[in-house]
Amino acid sequence: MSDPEHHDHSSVDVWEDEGGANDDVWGNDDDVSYDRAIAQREWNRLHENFGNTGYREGIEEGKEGTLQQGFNQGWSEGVQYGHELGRLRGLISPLLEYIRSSPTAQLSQIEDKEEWITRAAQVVKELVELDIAKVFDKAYFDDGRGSSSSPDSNNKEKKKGDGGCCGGSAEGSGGSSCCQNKDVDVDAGSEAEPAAAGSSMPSTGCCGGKGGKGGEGSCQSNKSNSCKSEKKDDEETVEIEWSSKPEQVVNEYRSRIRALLLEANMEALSHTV
Amino acid sequence: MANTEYELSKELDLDALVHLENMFVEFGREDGMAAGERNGAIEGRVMGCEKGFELSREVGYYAGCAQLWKTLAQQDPERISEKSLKKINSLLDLIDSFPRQNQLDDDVVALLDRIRGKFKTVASALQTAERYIDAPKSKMFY
Repeated sequence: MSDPEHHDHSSVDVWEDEGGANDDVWGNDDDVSYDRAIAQREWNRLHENFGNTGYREGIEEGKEGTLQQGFNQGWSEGVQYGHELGRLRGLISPLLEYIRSSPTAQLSQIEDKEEWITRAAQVVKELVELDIAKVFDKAYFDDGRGSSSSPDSNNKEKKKGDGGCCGGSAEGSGGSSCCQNKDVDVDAGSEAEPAAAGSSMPSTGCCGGKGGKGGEGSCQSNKSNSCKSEKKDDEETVEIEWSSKPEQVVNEYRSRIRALLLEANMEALSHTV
Repeated sequence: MANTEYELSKELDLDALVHLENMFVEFGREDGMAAGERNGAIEGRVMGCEKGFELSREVGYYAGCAQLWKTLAQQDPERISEKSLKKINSLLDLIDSFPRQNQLDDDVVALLDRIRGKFKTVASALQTAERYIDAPKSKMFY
């Protein structure tokens, strides 16, 4: 791992001067401070270069471990909501076709049929076009389940510290200083975003509001949420549940579908929604 | 300085230097590991969520259609024949086997193909125009 470039004469000289108990005490002050400056620069350079190399290695290694685990977790979450949203569409779309195609069938005797058809077609269209990004927002992934921070996607390729919580400094302070800065935001976030809704989702109040507003720059807000591990106790005592974005989306469609089914004399089916 | 002294200290210094370099690498690596673990968990989660969501959306759609047709068959038996009903039930059973958890040895894509095939069978038996439409989607970036 040694870099031959580093074995240059000046650094050797510097070490000599630092190590020596002999000459420099009586030596020329100018020389010592100049060498000191060189030494400092050299130290910093070593720190940065080798630190970065190590960092890059470490990131790769660390990622490998948790990627599969994360994938499995995400898969279950995606399936949970995806299946339901697909199912909701599947309940209405063929019904719509049936009602349009058999106007005299008893089942298709609906009050204000035209209006029902319009609404049903609308909801089907929406479900077809529903984009995953509208279902899972950033805040959802910031809820700290299985991960304590989220990286800013723009910075993913950068090697230094951006992936981590308060990764601004390569020194890896562990983010205590950053977290303190964000404390205020965190509190404001969790108080501003409660929504009473029975939900099995863990309280994500912390970054909820921030996540929604953020775009690319939301790394800041994400970082604030990553300090969740320190704030967790505070949040749990707040104890306000709010439903996550996917829950909200699914529930919205559920109620519309339920209504449509009921109006179309499909009561039994409406109970499954 | 005496030559030998100089030589000696030069050797010691090289060792110290190498040690220093390694030390920096290790510190960097530690920090990197922590960041990498977090990154990996999130990246994996987003990826898994996308894949699971899109795949199960299609499967869920088939499930909904099957459930609807099954109910229709009960309420309007002339529309949907006994044979078709059998096919519908068979489709529903197949869909039930779609994994909610990701297991490494599951061949999800193969299962999806079977489900698609079964759905087409049912659809043609019912002479319906229903089919799963895939709208162009964006990717999630976090």
